[in-house]
Amino acid sequence: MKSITFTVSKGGVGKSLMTANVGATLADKGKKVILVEGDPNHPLQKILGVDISSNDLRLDEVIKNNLKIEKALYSTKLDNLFLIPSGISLQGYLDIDPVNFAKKLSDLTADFVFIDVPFPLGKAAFLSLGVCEYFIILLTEDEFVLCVESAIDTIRMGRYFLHCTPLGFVLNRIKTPEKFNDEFIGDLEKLLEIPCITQIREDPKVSKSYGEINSRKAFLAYKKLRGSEFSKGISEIAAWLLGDLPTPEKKSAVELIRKLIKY
Amino acid sequence: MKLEKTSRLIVLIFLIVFFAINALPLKTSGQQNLQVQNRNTGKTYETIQEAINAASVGDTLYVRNGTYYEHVVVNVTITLLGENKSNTIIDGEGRGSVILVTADDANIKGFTIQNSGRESITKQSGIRIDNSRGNKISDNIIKNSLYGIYIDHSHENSILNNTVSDNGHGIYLDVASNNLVSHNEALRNTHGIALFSATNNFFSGNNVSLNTVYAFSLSTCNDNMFSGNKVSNNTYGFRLSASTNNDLSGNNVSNNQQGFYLGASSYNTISGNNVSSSNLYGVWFAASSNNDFLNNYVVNNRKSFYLSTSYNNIIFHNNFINTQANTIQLPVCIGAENFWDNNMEGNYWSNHTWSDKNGDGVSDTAYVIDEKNKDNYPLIAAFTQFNILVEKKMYTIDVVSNSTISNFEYLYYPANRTTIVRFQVTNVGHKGFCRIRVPHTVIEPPYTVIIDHNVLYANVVHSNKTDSWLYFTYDYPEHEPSTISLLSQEQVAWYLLWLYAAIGLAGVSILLLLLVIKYHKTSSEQKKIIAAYELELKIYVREHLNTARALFENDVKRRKAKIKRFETKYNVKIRSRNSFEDVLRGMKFKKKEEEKAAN
Repeated sequence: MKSITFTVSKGGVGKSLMTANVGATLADKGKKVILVEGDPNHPLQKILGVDISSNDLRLDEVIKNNLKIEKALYSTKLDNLFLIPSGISLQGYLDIDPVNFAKKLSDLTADFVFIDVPFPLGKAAFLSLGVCEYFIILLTEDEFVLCVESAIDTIRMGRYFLHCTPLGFVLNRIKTPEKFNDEFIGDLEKLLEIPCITQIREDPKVSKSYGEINSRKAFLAYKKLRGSEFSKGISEIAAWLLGDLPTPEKKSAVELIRKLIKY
Repeated sequence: MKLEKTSRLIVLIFLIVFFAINALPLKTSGQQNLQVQNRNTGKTYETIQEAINAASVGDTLYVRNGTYYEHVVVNVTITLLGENKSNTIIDGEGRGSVILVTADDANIKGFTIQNSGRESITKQSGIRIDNSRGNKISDNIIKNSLYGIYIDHSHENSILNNTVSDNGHGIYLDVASNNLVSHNEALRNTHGIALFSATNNFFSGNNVSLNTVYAFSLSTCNDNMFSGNKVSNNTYGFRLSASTNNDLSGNNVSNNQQGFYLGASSYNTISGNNVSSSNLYGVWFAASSNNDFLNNYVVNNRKSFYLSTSYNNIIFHNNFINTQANTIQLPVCIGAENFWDNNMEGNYWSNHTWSDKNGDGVSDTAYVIDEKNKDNYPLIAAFTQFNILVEKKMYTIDVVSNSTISNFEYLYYPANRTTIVRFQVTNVGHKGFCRIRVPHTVIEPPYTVIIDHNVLYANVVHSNKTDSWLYFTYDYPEHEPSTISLLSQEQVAWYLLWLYAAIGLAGVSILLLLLVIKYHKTSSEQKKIIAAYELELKIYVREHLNTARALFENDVKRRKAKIKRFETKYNVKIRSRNSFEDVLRGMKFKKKEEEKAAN
C-alpha cells in the first residue's frame, strides 16, 4: 500500500481536484484506491458525486468509538475507488486521538491511499505528512515565490522531521507557459532537489469541475475533458505513481505519531 | 501437368475413403466395443463372465458402457463396477437370472440389469443372491425381470440406492435375515418389497410407490423393522400375514387402497406413522390381536380403522383427523374388545364433541365406538411426541396442544442450578392450551411455567415416580412464535445454605484483601512503567529532534548556494526559513507553554 498526499502552501491550488482525478485514474487502471477526506467542506464528496447522509458513519466516529474503519468506507461510482468521508477537519483529529487515526489508516488494504488536507501546516501536518509515506508538492504561477519558499520548508520538515518522502512537484494552473520553459524547470528541480512530474496549464473548464458550493454539478475533469492538458497531466502523475517509487523513509506511522504527538 | 492431376486425384480418393470410414455409425451394442478390465491385473476381457472366471478374490472388474447379453455368475468375492448405471447394461434376453451371486462379500454397483426369464420355480431374477452373505448391491437400475432382487436364504447383505422398477416383485427376501434394504426406489412393480419367513431385516428410507398390489408384504415374518419409508399409491401399503413382533414406525403411508393390513398377525408395533388418504381403510386388523398402535396420525382415510375378530390391541395417543367429506372417522369393530386408552390418555378424535371442565386436556366424555370399544380419555387436541437430548441421552416428551409446538430445547444453568425445558408455540388462535408430560430425569418438579416473560398458572394434573403431567392455558401471546419455558430449580437444604453463605463471605473477604494488595502493587509497578516509558519517549524525541535538526542544518548549508543562484538568475527573493526552530514554530509544532519553559 502506498500512501500519498498532495501538499500546498495555500488554497485554490487544485489539490482536491488533483487527488480525486489522480485517484480515479489509478482506479481506472485496476488499482484499489482509497481517498481520505480531511476537509470539512467535503470537496471529494462533491467531485465524486458521493452522497453521504448525516446518519452514515464517518472517520471521526470510527475513531471515537473504535469501530472497524471499513464501516466508514464508501464505494463511489467508479469500481476500485473508495472514499472515507470525514465529519471534521484533519486538525480536529488531533483533538480526538491522533494515534488511533494513524492506526485506523494503517488497517486499510488498498494499492493507494490519498489523504486530502486543505493546509497541511501546523499540527495537521502530523496527520498528512506524518501518516503518509510520500508527498507531492503542488506549485502555482500565482504567488509562485511564496509557493517555492513554502515548498522548501515542507520538503525539509517532511523529510527530516516526519520521514515523509517527497516524490516531486507539479506545476499547476500555469498561465504563461513560456515562462516555465525547460531551463526554468531544470533550475527549479535543482533548487527543490526533486523532479518535476508534470506541468498543467490553467483551464477554466477544469476549475468548473469543482462546481459551485453546495452544487452537485461537480465532475471528474480527467474523464469529461479527455485529451485536455489537465487530463494529460493527470495521466502523467498516475503513470509516475505506478512506476517504481523510492523506498519510503517511514517505518511505522503509528509509532512516529505516538511518540511525536507527546512532544 | 498430368502428374500433378494424378496426385490430386489420389489425395481426393484418400480423403473420400478417410471420411467414409469415419462417417460409419459407431456400434452401441454387440460384442465388438465391449470391454471388461480387471483393475488389479490390468487385463481386459470381452465378457464379464470371462473376467470373473479369471479374477482373484478382492479384484475389481470395471465394465465399460455397452449392452452385455450375458448370464453372469459371481462365484468369487469381487467388485463388479459399471462405468455408468444408465449405459452399462446387462441383458438376460428373457432367459434365466441375469446375475447370480453365490460368493460372499461381493459388490455390484452401477449397472442396468434387465430382462430376466419369467420362470418362478427357478426364481429367475435381475440379481439373485443365493445362499451367501455380506454382498452389497448398490446404485443399480433393475427392471423388466420376474424378481428385481431376490435374496434367497442369504443374510447380512446390503441393498442400497437401487431403482427397482417394472418387475414382478421389486425385492424379494426368502428366508433371509439381517439384511439392510435402504434408500431404494421400488416403483411400478406388481409387488414392491416382499418378505417370506424373513427375520431381523431393516428397511429404511425406501420409496415404495405405484406398485400394483402391495408395497410391503410380510408372510410369516418376525422381528423386522420398517422406518422412514414412503409408501404411496399402492393397493396395500403394508400387508402383514401371520407375522409377529415387527416394528413399523415413522413411515409415510398415503394414497393407498389400504394403508396397513394385518391378517392373523400379533404383537407388532405400529407407531409414529402417517396414514392418510387411503381409498378404502387406513388400518385394517383381521384376526390380529395384541398389537400396539400408538402415536400415529390417521388422516382423511375413506374409513379410518376396521377391526374384525381382533382383540386386545392397544390403540392410544393417535390422532384421528377427518377434514374431508366422505371420510369416516368412527372405527368399526366386529366382535371383540380392544383398548383405546392407557387408563389416562386416549386418542384425539377430530370429530368428537368434547368438554373439559376440570381443565386437564382430557375430555370429560368418552368417545364410544361400540359396547366393547370405547376411548375413555379422549384428548382434546392433537397428540405429539418430541425427543429431547439431555446429556447425550434421548428422552420423550408428550404434548397435547391446540398450538403448533416446535423446537424443544433442554438447558441447564449450573450457576443457579436451574433446568429449563423450552419450546415454541405458534397458531395459538384465541386461547392456547397445553398438556405436557415431562420425565423427572429431564426436569424435576416443582415447575414454574413462563410464556415469554409472564408466569402462567400450571396445573399438575398427574404425577408418578417417573413423570409429571402439567396443564396450562395462555391467551393471545404478545408475538408468535412465543416461547414457553418450564423452569425447575434444584432445592438446597437450609443448613447447606448457611454453609454456602459462610464460605461465600469468607471468600469475598479474602478476594477484597487480595485486590487491595494487588492494587497497591500494580499502581506502584504501573508508575514505574509509565516513568520508564516517558523517559524513553523523552530520549526518543530528543534524539529525533537532534537528528532532524542536524539534517535540516546540513540541508540549509547545501541549498544556500542553489537559492542564491536562483535568486540572482530570476531576480526573486526566496525567504525560506533557515532555522529548524523557526520552521517548527512556523508550523506551530511547538506548544506555547513548552516554548516558555524552554526559554
